[in-house]
Formats: sequence, structure tokens, C-alpha cells
Amino acid sequence: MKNKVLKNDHFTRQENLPPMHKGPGIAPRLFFMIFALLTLMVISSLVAFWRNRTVHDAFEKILYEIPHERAINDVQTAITDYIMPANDYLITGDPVEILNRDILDEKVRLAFVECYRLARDDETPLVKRVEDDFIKIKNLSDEIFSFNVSTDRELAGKIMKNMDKLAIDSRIHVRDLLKMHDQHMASASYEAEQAWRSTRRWMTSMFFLALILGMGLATYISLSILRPLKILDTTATKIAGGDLSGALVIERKGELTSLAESFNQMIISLRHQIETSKTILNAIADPVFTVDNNMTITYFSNACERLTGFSAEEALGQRCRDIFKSNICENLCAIRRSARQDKPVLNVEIQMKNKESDTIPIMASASCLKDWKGNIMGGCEVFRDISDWKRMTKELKDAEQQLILSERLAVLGRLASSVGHELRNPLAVVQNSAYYLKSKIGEDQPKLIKHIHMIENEIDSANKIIEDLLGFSRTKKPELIPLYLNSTIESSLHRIRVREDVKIDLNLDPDIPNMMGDKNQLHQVLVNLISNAEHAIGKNSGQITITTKKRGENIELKISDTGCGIAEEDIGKLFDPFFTTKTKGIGLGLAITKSIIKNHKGKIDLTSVKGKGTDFIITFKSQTQ
Amino acid sequence: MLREKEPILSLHLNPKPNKNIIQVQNNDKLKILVVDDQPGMCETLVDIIEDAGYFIDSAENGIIAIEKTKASKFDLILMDIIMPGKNGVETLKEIKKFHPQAIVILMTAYTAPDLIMEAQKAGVYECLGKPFSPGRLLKIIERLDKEKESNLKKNKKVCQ
Ligand SMILES: Nc1ncnc2c1ncn2[C@@H]1O[C@H](COP(=O)(O)OP(=O)(O)O)[C@@H](O)[C@H]1O
Ligand SMILES: [Mg+2]
Repeated sequence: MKNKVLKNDHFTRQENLPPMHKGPGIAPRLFFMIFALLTLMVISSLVAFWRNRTVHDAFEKILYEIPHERAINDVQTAITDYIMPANDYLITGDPVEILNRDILDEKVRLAFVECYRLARDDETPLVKRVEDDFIKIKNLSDEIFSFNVSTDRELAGKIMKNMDKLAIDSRIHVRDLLKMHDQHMASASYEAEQAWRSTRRWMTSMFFLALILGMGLATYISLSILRPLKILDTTATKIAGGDLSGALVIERKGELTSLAESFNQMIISLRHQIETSKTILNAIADPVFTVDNNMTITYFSNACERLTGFSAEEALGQRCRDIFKSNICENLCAIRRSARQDKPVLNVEIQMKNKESDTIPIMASASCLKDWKGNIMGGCEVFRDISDWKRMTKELKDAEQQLILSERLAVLGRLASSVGHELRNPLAVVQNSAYYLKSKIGEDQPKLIKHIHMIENEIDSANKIIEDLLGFSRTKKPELIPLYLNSTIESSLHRIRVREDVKIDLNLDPDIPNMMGDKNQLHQVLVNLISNAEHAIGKNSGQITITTKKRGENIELKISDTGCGIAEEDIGKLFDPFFTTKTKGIGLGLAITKSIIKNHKGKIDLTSVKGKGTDFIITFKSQTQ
Repeated sequence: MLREKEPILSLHLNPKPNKNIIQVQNNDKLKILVVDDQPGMCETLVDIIEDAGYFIDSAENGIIAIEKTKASKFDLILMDIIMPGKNGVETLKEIKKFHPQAIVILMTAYTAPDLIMEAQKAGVYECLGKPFSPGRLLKIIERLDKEKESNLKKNKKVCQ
């Protein structure tokens, strides 16, 4: 394995695949193999040819010796053919003419010609000797037949002796010749056998040589051709498995170079495509993840990491519900629903938990992942953190409601204002009348006086209500001037009277900074809160404590009472206009208070314990803020 | 019961009474005119003030008030601001033209800051928010009466 960095590949990564080629290419290899095999064939045929000649020569020799033997035998027969009649004549004296003497002569001649032709150098003298013998025998035989045996017995005997001697000699000479011939025959067959043996050896070795060489070459060639194919196969398998980390290393140009290059190009473009889709997926601001059919996470985008707090490494391979811990993972999972209905499921609102177990509201959309056959192989979910959106819509809704409310309040305010004002006129007349009556009724009419007091008191109450109404409708902006809240409170309290058995305690922090405020409106706030506190205390005795305190840059004003407290279900509605629990209240005090404090850029809170009392806490900003 | 020590609308615009009342009156007592479009208001005030021993007349709108003032010079005019026709401030201005010594107290059920400002410029003595305590009004009248008396005495001394 060779590690190499592909320079022109912009993904620059370690290559971990073996080189495609090593050594010569396939064409020279094939050429070399065929050439080697052809050469082998030529050599084998040459060897065969050569061996064939040797064998042939050897057998030639044997074949050569066979007619020779026949010729010798013919010669011997011919000699015997000459001797036998001569002998017979000599013995019997009965001249038996040699039959077909001419044919015999011709036969003998041919036999000798044959003998000579086939004789070897060392045989020729032997043939010659036999021929001499034959000529002698022939002459002798001729001589025998030229005279009458019966007449000349003695000579006949002599000739016979000669003849016998010649016959024996010739037989010996023929035997010598045959012996010599046998020797030649034996050497020829030995040679032939030798030639055959060596040929067989040659052939065997050639066979094995060719076998081994052929096998070797075949193995080498097939290996060397198959190796790059094998590498291609390995790489393709890897790619099929989704591993695109490697590329083929091309060391040298070869037949498969262009294939390998296309292959590398394919890997690069695949990688590029995958990288691009990953980049796109990761660039999507909304988190995206995919799961397989076991709901195991198979993809986890960057946005997912950010939202959930889990890294992709942690999330991949985990079960979906372990990561998202959503409230409806089990039964209402969007992916499952999408799989069941076989169509995307859009905008399901879910609560999920992130790594820190904070609950995040999300809006999820899911669809099925299908393979090319259309089988569902998992699901893909895109979701969105809607906490901001939710907060915004809530704010919007609040603002809208506020607007509606304030519009309604404006109309109400105008109505309240004109009604309030118009009520003052009759009230003034009633008050005048009551005054007049009071001045006319003497001390002796206590009941009438009591009634007139009641009229006057009720005029006061009515006036109070009108004050509230008008105060509420007075939406004018505060005229802010720098003021020291403690002094404002003190001067305000001079103008506020409470029942005897309600004690007002002041606990003012002299260190509070100046603030921007409208004295009249702040006075109104105090009037409202103190009157509420007084009402809450009811007929019992109680205490109202007014505290100021420096809180960092802010000023805190607390008005506490020991009254009846507030029921928990009422706390939310307390500042709503016209919310009241009193038979004589109109429920505008706190609404006015809140709007004044809002205009001062402050805020108002409260804590209350039912039966124990209530604290209203107002926070103002200091002048410098 | 919580209550405010002073009505919010009671503004002391001209705390010092007009010092140069030098007109010689037939009657030493203060002569008062009540102007209000609401008959109940006029009647009750007339009864209260008359019984307190002052000369008092009433008018139901600004025009009648001007006429009556021209006829007999009133020392004190109690006038509603919001009236059909001429409103209180306009009437005040006109009266001041021919009878600058007149002391005018305006009464109003409305919080109308610009009208009050205007009235202030035109020389109103005091603005009373309705409903007001008649006792308080009587105290003011009493004080003005005493001032008139001492002025008369001074004048007499000057004449002598
Ligand atoms: N200090 C307090 N203690 C107990 N209840 C209170 C207190 N302040 C206000 N509340 C409750 O809030 C309601 C609304 O108060 P508010 O707006 O002033 O109208 P109102 O006084 O006319 O009823 C009251 O009716 C009362 O029930
Ligand atoms: Mg209240």
C-alpha cells in the first residue's frame, strides 16, 4: 500500500489504494508471452526435427542392413546353387544341367551388385573374397561339367576336394561377412535405440519446460493483467460501501490508465457531489437529520449539533429518541407518521430537550427516505427552533391586544371623561343644596343633620369615583422633571389622609439617586396604592409601610400593607382596567398606576400572601440612566 | 375614608386681591352676580349667598351677565366656564373691558387647562373646580367683603 497525496485534487487527502500498474504494461507483457511461446515452439520443433533426423538416420542404417543380409544370403544361396549340382554330378556322375543357368547367373550377379552396393568399407574386402570364392567355384563348376566325371575319376576327386575346400572357404567367408554385417546391424540398432532414448528425453524435457514456462507466463500475465482489475474491483466495492477516501494511483501510463483516470474522475466528482450536498445540508440553517428503519440516526447536520448540543459523532448510530428526548417521540414521531401515510408530514409542533435538558419547542417536518426500488429505508426530518418565533408571536399578540385594549381604553377614556365631567355639575348642585339645608337645620334636628352628612359623604364618594375615571382618561404624557423621590413622597403624604387606626410608616433610604418624574402623577400613584392598602386592611387596624431603597442604578419603592392579601387567581387580572373585587370600586386605580409607571419607564410588581398582606414593588430608573 | 385636603382643581391664580378698588358703592356689602346655564346652580348659590347677607343676582348666560353688569356694577362675579353661547372666559374678558375692578371667580366641572390659562391672563381671581364646598366660597366672599370695607374706609379717610 502506498500513501500519496493527489495534488490536483482539491480535497487533498491521503490515498490508501495500491498503484494501478507496476512494471511493463499489458501489451508488452502479452507480446513477450506470445513471443516466448512461439520461440519455445520453434525451439521444440527444431529439437524435434533434429532428434527426428538422428532417429531416422539410425533406422536408415538398420533398414540399410536388412537388404544387405538378404543379398548376402542370396549370394550364399547362389554359391550353394552352383556347388550342389556340381557336387551331385561329381558323386553320381550323372550330369544334371544347371537349370536356367542364365537366370541363376543373373541372380548371382544382381546379388553381388547388391552386396557391393550395400557393403561398407570394411565389408567390401569380405565381399570381394566371397566373390573370388564364387568365381573360383563357378570356374570349377564349369570345369567339372566340361569333362566327363565317370571317365576321369581321379581328376574328379581332386576337383571335388577343391570344391569342398572352396565351399568351406566360401561358407566361412560368408559367415565372416554375416558376422561383420551382424556387427553393423547391432551397432545400428544400438544407435537407433540411443537416438530414440535421447529423443524421448529431449521431448520430455521440452514438454516440461514448455509446461512450466507456459504456466509461469500464463500466471504472470494473468496476474499482472488482473491486478489492476482487482484494484479497480476493490475500489469499486469500497465506493459502493460509501468510502470515497481513496483514489487510484497512476504511476505510469498503461492500457487501463484512461479507465483509471475516469474512475478517479468519477470518485472525485462523486466526492464533490457528496461534499456539495453535505455542504448544502450543513448550510441549511434549520437542523436536518436522517434515520434508518430502526430509527437510528444516520445523518446529523451542523445545525442539529448546534441546537441539540450533541456532536455528530455522538449522535450518529444513536436512537433518535435518545438524542431528541421529545415529548412525542414514541407515539407521534413525524417520521413514523410520514412512513405510515407515505407522504410528508408538515409542521408538527414538538417539545424536545437538548443536551442540557432545556426544553425547546420545535416545528418538525418529516418525509420518507426511499431507495431506488421505492422501499422505505428510513426518514428525514427538518425542524426549526420556534422559541424565538413563539416569543415573537406572543409579543405580537400581546402588542395587538395592548393596541386593542388601548384603543378601547381611549374610547372608554373619552366616555369616562365626559360622563365624569357632566356628573360634576349635578353633584355641585346637590352639594350646594345640602349645604343650604345644613345651614338652615338647627341642632334640634339631629336626624336631618345625619342625613345631610350622609348626602355629603356620598357626594365625596361619587367625587372620588369621578376622580378615578378622569384620572384614567387623562392619558397625557408625564411632565418629567428631576426629582428626589423621598421628598415627593413626603409632600404627597401631607395631602393624603387615612383612617385613624391605619398607621403609615416611612422607611426612606436617603441614598437614592434623583429620578425623572411627574410629581402630580407620582402623587396619584401613591394615592391609589395607599387607598387600596387602606381598603385591604378594612375595618381592622393595620399598617402601611412605604420603603425606598437604592438598588444598583435603580430606585425601588415598596408599599406594603397588612391587609387581606390577594387571591392567586386574581393576581393576573389586577392591573386590568375595571377589575375590582370591591362593591364600591371601579377597578381603575391599578390600571392608572401601571400606565403612569410605564410612562415613567419603570415597572411594577407585587407579592402577596392571602390573609397576611401585599407588597407592591415599583422600580424606577435613576436620572442618569 | 381617605380624602384629599384640597381639591386638585383649586388653583390660587391671583392670591392677592385687587388693591385698587376705589369705586364708591351705594351698599357697603359686596354685590355678587352668579352666572350659570344650570338653573339649579344659580338658585342654590343665590339662596346660600343671599342668606349670608349679600346682594346677589343671577344670569343664565354670558350675554345676560354682561348686560346685568353694565346695569349695576357687581363687585364679584361667580361664573361657570362652559356655557352655551359665550363661554365664561370670553364673558370675563368683555366685562373686564368696561368694568376692570370686577373680581371674577370661575367655576368649572372640566379640566380645561388652556381656558384656565386664558382666564389667568384676563385677570381671573380664582378658579374653583365643581363641586366645591359652599363654605369655602363663603369664606372667600367674606374676605373680599372685608377688603372692600377697609378700602372704603381708606377712601373715606382720603376724601376727608
Ligand atoms: N393592597 C391590596 N391588597 C389587597 N388587594 C388589593 C390591593 N390592591 C389592590 N387590590 C385588589 O385589586 C383590585 C383592583 O384594584 P384597583 O385597580 O385599585 O381598583 P379598585 O380599588 O377600584 O377596586 C381591588 O379590587 C383589590 O381586589
Ligand atoms: Mg383602588
